[in-house]
Amino acid sequence: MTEQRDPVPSAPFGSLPRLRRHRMDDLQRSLVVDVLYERSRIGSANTRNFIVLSLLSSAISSMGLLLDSSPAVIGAMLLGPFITPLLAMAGALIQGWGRRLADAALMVAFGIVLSVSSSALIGFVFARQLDRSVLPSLLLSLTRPGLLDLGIALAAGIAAGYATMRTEAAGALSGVAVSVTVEPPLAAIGLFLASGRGDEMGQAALALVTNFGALVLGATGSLAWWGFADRSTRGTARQARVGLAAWILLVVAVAVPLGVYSRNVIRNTTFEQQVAGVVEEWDPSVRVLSIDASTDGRTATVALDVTGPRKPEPAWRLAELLSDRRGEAVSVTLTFTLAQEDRAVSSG
Amino acid sequence: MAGVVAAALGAVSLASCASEPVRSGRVVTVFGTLSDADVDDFMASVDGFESATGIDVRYVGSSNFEADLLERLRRGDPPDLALLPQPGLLDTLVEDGFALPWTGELAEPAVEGVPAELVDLVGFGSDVYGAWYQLTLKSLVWYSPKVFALRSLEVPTSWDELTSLTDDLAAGGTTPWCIGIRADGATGWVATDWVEDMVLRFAGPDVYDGWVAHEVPFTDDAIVAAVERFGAIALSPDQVAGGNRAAVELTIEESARELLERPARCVLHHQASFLPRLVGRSVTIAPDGDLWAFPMPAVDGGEAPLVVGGSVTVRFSDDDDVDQLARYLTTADAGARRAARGGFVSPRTTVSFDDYSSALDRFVAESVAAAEVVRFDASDRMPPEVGVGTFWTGMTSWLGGARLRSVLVEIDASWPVSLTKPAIPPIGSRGDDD
Repeated sequence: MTEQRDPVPSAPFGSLPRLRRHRMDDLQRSLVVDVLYERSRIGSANTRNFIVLSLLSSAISSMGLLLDSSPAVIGAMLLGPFITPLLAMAGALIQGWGRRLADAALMVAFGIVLSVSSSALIGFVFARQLDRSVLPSLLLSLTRPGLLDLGIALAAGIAAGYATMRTEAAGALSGVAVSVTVEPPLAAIGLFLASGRGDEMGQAALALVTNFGALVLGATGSLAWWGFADRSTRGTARQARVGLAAWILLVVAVAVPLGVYSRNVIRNTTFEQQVAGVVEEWDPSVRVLSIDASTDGRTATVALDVTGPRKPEPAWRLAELLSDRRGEAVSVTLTFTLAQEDRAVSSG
Repeated sequence: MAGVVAAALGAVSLASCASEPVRSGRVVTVFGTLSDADVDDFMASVDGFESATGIDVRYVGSSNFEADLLERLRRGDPPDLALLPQPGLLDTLVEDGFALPWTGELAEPAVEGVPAELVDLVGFGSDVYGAWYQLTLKSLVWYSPKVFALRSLEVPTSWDELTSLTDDLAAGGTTPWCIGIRADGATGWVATDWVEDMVLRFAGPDVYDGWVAHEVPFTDDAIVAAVERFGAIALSPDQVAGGNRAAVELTIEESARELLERPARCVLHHQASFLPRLVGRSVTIAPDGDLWAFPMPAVDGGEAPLVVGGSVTVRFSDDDDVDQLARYLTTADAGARRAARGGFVSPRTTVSFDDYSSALDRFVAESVAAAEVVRFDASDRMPPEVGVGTFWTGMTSWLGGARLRSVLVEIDASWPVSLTKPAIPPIGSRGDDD
């Protein structure tokens, strides 16, 4: 008796496309290079578009941030013109093209100045409003860059490089832009500059550097992997190595504070959840309006804003309960608002 | 419609075994007013005690200390010990039977090395109900030695010299004083400190003692004159940075920091020896540093009479572990350990001047020891209803524009009539006895 066997497939995932390394031909590379570097130079035909889109996207983004409007901010992201010069910088880093790197970097810097100016103008008009109110959540999120933001920007940079090399994936550029464009941080920098919020401006600048740095690094790897590198047109190998090494150092330098910050955010968020639970035990009659809790692992600080129908239990008791749970020093600042309801009726 | 009443309260709970959540089970709780770095320093000073005894010390502090302490006691939830900043409150605690006497083996340590005048403040009948822990000097005028050197100014040694200095500064376009009295839950104490210094200097220690005992009312001419003398500075637009409303608009911390601004907004600032804790940043406190202080001068230029404050350890639990900590806090070792961390002066002679790590603490300890007339902070000796109540609020209202006579009449009217303790004897009367 002959045993029948299933045919052995030639490859385990033979029917799926393979992400094998692809080498560009000279014509393809020439086209990409022409497009990238012609558009990434101040004085080129693209300059007017770049200026208009920088100003408009930043203005829309600024107003969207102030209104806490995600659609407006996403719209601004789609208009943002930075992706081309950033990819040009990535390609120039691989190839060691110093002049082209400088041209693209100059264009990026020019765009930053335009965008920040545009958003600062919006900020000056609404500066008083921003001073007095609690920051809108979208704007607030830009003051808290974390390691995950860096990860998103890195992945998006890889996607941007891939889309540039594979013309069939070019449509993905819009998605890349939405994911990581630098427009919201730029707008935030301008708004904070106009309202004199130095600390927040610094955080937004960190978010911007994160996105710039990781995006370019991701694109660099992606372009190199999929065949952008070409010895025949490359500058000196040393230039390329130095450029890449400097860029990697920049991203690592940003990643360290972001990593620390992310760890602190996670720790503090967990702590805030714990505080919310202990508050229930401390005084069930109060309603929590806000909790701001942080800890360095040795000393914890809690700012608690509550309301209720009567004066709550004393703050020291809450501090003691939290200290018991955590085994660390806890300092509590309690703000209590007595909730009173006056009802009135008029028969007309 | 929601009517709202908002209040901000601060509290801190600190266990020294932060890195070791599992405790021995023997915990002694200390309740007080310390916060921030002072708490860390206190806890560090009892590290050795904890290691030696296995007893965990837990410090719990509250900015609403008086009210919280009384509430705890009335609920039947007393702390083991309290660091009480107001001897006036001790009257109430003893009368109501909450505070325990320091008797038996605790009697001797409670008073060891403490000037008799201070012991009198915590004595009721034949027993003492508190052991002095810390002393602060209230009668200080802070200045920048660098600014004084730059302007060739001399530290005044009499009231006339001080007045001459401030008048000259004002005439030259420099605002002499920074004053701010706002404080969370305690607005007004800076103003009462000023008034106390004026009363002690211009009316003398006898009137001061009578005033504390309410034998001399607030409406007495001597007290009115003292308050007006303070008003001549605080309510004069050219004497105070920010003008005559600044005192009620600025917080205590803000006004202290004004002295350090560049250019400085003022040249002089009246504040207690704990000012370095208020400025919120690292400064050099030394005769040639960023800040230094001189005692508010005497009227005639002699030895300056001093107003001091301080805290007393009060027992609420009769327990061996509690007694061990209570006794330890009276020792020279506890004082020296705390003094080594700075920002602390012991009232006990058992703590050597050499134990103080900071020049300021040593200066304060030596000044108090050498002074001929020392009186405890009047508002802290008065009944709490007045001392930390209407006296604070009254001075705040007056600085805000209320009529002085009306304010003083209201303070007098608020004096509780139920207190039966006779007039508190004066302290620091060494000079008086001569």
